[in-house]
Amino acid sequence: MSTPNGPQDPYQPSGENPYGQQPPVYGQQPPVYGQQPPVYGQQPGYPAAPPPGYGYGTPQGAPPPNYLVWSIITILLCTIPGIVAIVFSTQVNSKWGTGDAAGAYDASKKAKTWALVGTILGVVALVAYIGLMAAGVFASTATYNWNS
Amino acid sequence: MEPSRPLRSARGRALLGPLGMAVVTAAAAVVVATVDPNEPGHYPTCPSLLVTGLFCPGCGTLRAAHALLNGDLAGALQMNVLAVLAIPVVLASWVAWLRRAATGRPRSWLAPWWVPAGTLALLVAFAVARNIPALAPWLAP
Repeated sequence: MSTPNGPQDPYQPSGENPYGQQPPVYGQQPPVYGQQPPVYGQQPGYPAAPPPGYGYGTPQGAPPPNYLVWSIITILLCTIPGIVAIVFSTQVNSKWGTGDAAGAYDASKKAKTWALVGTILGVVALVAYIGLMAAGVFASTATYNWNS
Repeated sequence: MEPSRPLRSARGRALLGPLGMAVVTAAAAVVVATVDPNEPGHYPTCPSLLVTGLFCPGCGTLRAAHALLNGDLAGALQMNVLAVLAIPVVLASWVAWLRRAATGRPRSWLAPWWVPAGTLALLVAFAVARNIPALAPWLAP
């Protein structure tokens, strides 16, 4: 972490290298990580995505956001998309925990999409509801009595 | 450390997220603290409560926030236990967001899978439990 804001090399060998015992799945890649071109280095300011598809261990690099808090707020705004978003939040953590970095990033993207959809739908419904109420559509409906 | 040129650097733009959220939340807190949600007509009744008559896990959060902002912790807990207990978690999450934005360092840790899964289970259990009449004195708003 010599450059906190700069691009990180996900292949930078740390103290113990968890990829050292990697099965030869990627036969066309040179097994020496030091010789790989710094592909991620050309995306400044973006957290480097770790190489996908390792079946064990936590991947190196930055884990994706799981948008859990946003998903919960979405549940209160618009239930169904919020629940879908939380399910994908869970997948972010579980896939990252089993070493599936690409799957975790994919689930993160889906959680964000569903949370966004739920937020937009919820805000639209809320605005429509307040508008209808202001127009007197619910005038005959008894309001909920807290103190009963 | 660094000269302040907030809107020009990428880091300054990253800070807009957490800081903007803080400003919006503070403004909402002022409104909720002063305009009492216990008075009918101050806020619209939640549509899902009006339609279903059931308490969702978020029911009572506005009244809990009003109670808490006026120093009434017991009243807040009575309105929505889970919302009050979630405040430290949400605050910690916001601090982590602010720190990532300020340092530019990416996320380095992710909770085990059962943390989000358990959160969902807790929300569902809370939604069911607070609609059971026997538990209503503690859990219903």
